[in-house]
Amino acid sequence: MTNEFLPPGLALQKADERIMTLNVGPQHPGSGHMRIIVQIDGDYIVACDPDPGYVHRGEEKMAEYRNYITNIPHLERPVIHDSCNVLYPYVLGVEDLLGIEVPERAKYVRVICSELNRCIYTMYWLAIYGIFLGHSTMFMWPAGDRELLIDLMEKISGARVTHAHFVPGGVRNDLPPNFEEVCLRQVNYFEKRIREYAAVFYDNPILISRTQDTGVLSREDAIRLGVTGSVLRASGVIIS
Amino acid sequence: MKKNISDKIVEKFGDKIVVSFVKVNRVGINVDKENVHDLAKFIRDELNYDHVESVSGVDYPQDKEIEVVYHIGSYSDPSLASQLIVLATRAEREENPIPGKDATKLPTLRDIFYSVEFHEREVFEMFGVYFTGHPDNRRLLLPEDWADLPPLRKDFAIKGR
Repeated sequence: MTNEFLPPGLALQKADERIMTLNVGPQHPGSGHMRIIVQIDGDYIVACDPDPGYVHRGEEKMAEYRNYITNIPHLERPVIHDSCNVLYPYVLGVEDLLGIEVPERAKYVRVICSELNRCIYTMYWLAIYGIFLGHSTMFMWPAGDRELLIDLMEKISGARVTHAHFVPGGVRNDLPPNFEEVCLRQVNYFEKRIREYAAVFYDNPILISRTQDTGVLSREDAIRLGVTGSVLRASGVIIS
Repeated sequence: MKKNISDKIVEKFGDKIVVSFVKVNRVGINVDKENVHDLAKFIRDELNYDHVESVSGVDYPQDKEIEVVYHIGSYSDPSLASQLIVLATRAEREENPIPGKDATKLPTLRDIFYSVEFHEREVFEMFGVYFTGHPDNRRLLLPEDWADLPPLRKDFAIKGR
């Protein structure tokens, strides 16, 4: 049998006296099960072959069997922590196909929800990143402060994490009566809190010495590989 | 601006391409598989687009064709930051596919846009479109022992539904 179509890790390889092939996983290196087949020469990784299929949920196929509304709860599952933003393009696409005009207020509510959700996601990332670096304060603080934002989203949608709040044509329900007051209070709290984060984490010499010049992705490579989001920004391309 | 992009492409390729739509920030181009490689090269070298954001497949059983859609964007040219070119091309569709060994083939764009590498692998296993010239046409997401139709084709049915 030729190696051409065999999945990663099953292809036969010639033995090499320097290069060792290792299977990392399938375990949980950050979020979601994934296997990485690495070839190492001493301490250096010379090649790596990701096998991410363990997290594939077959959303596209499931969507073929459901109607536009019943797709909403399962399409936000792939990115649970950022469920508003991952649903947003789907809802916009359905609206475009059906030619639905969205009320002005719903557009504002959507932007508020998306931004809150982005903050929730960033807090989650920050907590996990902190604990990966062995900085347990930076796990506790964002994980605790994230609850305040989750409470806000719970007030809006009734659900803590997977909101299913956006529907084609608008949002599922309006903002609660005292939302503005509570939201401003939380936002003001974060403004103060961010400075404490900076003092204990971002400006921490231990963090800087551990992360500086490690795993550098050059600007050219980032563009060539089509990297997105904060990784792209970290490589010096000012686009989100 | 948007009009300019489609005009430039029409000027260069004439009747080899069809401009399927021009929307705010989007230009849709349909092209046959003989010219897709040249067109992609032109888009990269002359129009300053530098990466492919997604590669998706669409199955058209009634036309006996499978369409592959490339969304091409630009990071390095700020004036194109919100612009996308939607490049669509079609491959022949076989009733009884043998992925990689039948007529469902397209030229790869991996030598032009490096970022399509994994996306084209996914389209290969999900739709059975083999990308000629792609250095790594193995499966990506499906289980190792998958022996059924490519699962995103319309005639693949979920069992028990």
